[in-house]
Amino acid sequence: MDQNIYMPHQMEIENIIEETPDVRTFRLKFRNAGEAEKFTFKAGQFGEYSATGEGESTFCIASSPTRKGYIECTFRKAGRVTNALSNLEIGDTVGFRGPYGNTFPIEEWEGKSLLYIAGGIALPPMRCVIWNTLDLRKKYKDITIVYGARTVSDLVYKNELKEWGERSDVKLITTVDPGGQTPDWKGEIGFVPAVLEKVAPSSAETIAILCGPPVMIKFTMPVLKKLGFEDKNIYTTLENRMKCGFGKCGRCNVGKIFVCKDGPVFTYEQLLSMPAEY
Amino acid sequence: METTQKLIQKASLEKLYSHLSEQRKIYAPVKSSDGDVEYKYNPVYADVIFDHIRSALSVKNLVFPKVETLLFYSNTKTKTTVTETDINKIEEVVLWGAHPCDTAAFDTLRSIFCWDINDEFFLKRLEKLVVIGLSCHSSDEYCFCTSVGLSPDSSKGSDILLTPLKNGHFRADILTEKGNRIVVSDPELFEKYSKEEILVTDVKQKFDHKQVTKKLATAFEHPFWVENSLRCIGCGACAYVCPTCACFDIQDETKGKNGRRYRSWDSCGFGLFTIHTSGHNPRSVQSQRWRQRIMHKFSYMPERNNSLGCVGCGRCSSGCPVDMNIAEQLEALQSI
Amino acid sequence: MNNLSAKAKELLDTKAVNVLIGYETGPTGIVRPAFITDPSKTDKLIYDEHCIHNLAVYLTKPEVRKLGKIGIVATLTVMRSIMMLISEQQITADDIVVLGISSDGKLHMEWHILRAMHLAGRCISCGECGRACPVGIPCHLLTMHLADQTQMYFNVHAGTSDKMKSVLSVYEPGDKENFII
Repeated sequence: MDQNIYMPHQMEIENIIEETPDVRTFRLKFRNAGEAEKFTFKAGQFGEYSATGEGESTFCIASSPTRKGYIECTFRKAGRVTNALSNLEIGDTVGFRGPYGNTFPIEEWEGKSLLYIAGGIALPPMRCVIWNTLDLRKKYKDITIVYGARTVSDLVYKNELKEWGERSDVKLITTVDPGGQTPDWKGEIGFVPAVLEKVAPSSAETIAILCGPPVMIKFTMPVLKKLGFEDKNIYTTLENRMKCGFGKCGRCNVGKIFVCKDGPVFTYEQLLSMPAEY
Repeated sequence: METTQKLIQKASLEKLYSHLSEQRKIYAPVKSSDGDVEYKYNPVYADVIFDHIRSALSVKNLVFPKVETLLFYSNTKTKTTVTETDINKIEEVVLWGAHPCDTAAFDTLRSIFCWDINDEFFLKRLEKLVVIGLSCHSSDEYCFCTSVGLSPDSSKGSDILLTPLKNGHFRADILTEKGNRIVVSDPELFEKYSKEEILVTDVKQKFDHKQVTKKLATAFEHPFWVENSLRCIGCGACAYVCPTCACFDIQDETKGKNGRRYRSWDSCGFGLFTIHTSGHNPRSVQSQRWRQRIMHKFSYMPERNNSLGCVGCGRCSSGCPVDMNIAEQLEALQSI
Repeated sequence: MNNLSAKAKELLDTKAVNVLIGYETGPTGIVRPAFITDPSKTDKLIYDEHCIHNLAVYLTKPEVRKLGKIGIVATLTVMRSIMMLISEQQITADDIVVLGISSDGKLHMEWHILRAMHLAGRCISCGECGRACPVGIPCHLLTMHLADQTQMYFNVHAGTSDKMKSVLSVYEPGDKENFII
């Protein structure tokens, strides 16, 4: 056929990282060199990943477009497809369709400071843009990352957190919910909104990028407003359920907005103009 | 192409039918044993009916099957092989005697499946479809095509439109190249037409769809949705009988080592349609889902797909077990 | 004003209930479920042989519960459904006022296999699933068959008591095990 838009690329699992007991990161390589050659994406985009025989699931591309030759995805074992994916091993095949959706406008952000705020399993949608801007480090002023999880063992990307923590050109603040700390925990203890308020990063010439569970977003937003962030300078991603990824299956819309086509990246200003169907 | 009009005698229709069905599959309306109207492949001409109001199901399955295989796969321990379905095997089908609401729905579906990127499964089926429409000689209280910019004799979506005449014969409007090819291969059946009185039903206009679209732009939070959907039980029947509803699911189905990935009809009226893995559901109650259904068809689609998501066939209302009558609701919406 | 309307008006007037679920005739002449919150509108309540919808389906609907205390016009079938819902703790008897209608309208049932299995021991044989089907699939034959089987094997008929336990989630030492191969 001319083009079967539902046909996934066949990807080989090159590496698996066990982030937490139920969260894994796959590094995926195209089995077909020609497809790899043609493939490009930008920070913020997502794809449909399949455990062939079980179905497809939607995740962002968690690696940076500046790192060529592979893509990475991070997922939590939660349903039929993610359970099946979890059982795969290095060398196995994963289907991938994409990239879909819009992107973080990192070119527009050049010359500004960046404040990344993430909670729990919501760091993966942000990891791509974090690495993308770190790999273009000279183009941005201060880069601050505030990342929180329920417990120390729920923090994902531990190796990278270590690397970011050691870099002098990144300010990393990690936190766990009260009671979620271990005896040797050196980070903050407290919920993300409270920690953010304490750290109080400047909003001057700064873009805030926020990803997390709805309750975290709800309580973080007032803090950002208090710090002086304008709605148009706050970015987030929406995670509505999808099947096709290209605006046909009728599932992900928020009012007239298709999360799969017009999103997943939105400014808070845009969110305020949309019905609360997310 | 420019539309031409021909006369086709009642007796000639049988010849046309039989010629068409010699060359390809023909899909035509018949009365089923329980009295419903249904479309069937290759029924004998004597069973084909011309006076039906609406079939229980629409004919959208011709371009958007209930279940469409997207790909085949086989899994072994060491290897996954994925193969294409061969859409070039899709056969030509003549749709015979579909009413203008149903033929117009093909355009509506195209506006969904072919916005931004083309869905080749849909396009190939549409390309292989020849549509012989039939203007409506009768209608009932559920019909409202005239409220959504159509009429009982509108030609949208037809390649040839047959319109019954008072003299018992039919006027054939030849609307497309596909239609013309049929005329060319059977020229003696299509005679010279001179103006005759047509036998077409009147369908009363119940609301002004432009007014509805305008109202909807600011009606999202209106109590109307809860008040008017209390009796909706979320069964989804409306979406399954609708000629324009196109929401679908994608699933894998495995038998042993082999299987297929398919898409199948789905409904925004179902509670699980939008549920997240976390359990959070953006449209957690039926009133939100009813609002989505109306908004999608009468507000989002006009804006995003440049088409109205409803052709006024009335099936959602006649088929509803609790009388959620869409025309009644849209009429009420106009004055909120 | 008929008895039903008068009783409904009284319940709404005295705030014994906040909404009354019954039947009305819609603008196209079709009988359909009605939700009445305004005491002055109980006149439109009807009851005749066309009132066949099982109204118990609305007792668990969030938008309906939000209206407050519920009065419901109930035939024997609806009452059996209500008992089933109470026994499953999906609703509590205190929240509901039942306007019982003596049995004239006999009804029957429906749907597909997965659903039928979920309804084994729960189907009260109202027949709504078959009636609702827009293409006439007699799905009720499956659930009714399972209801018969439940009766045969466990001597239980769904919806006959508000204290009964779900057949498929309780085990009794005397349960037959001859289906285990």
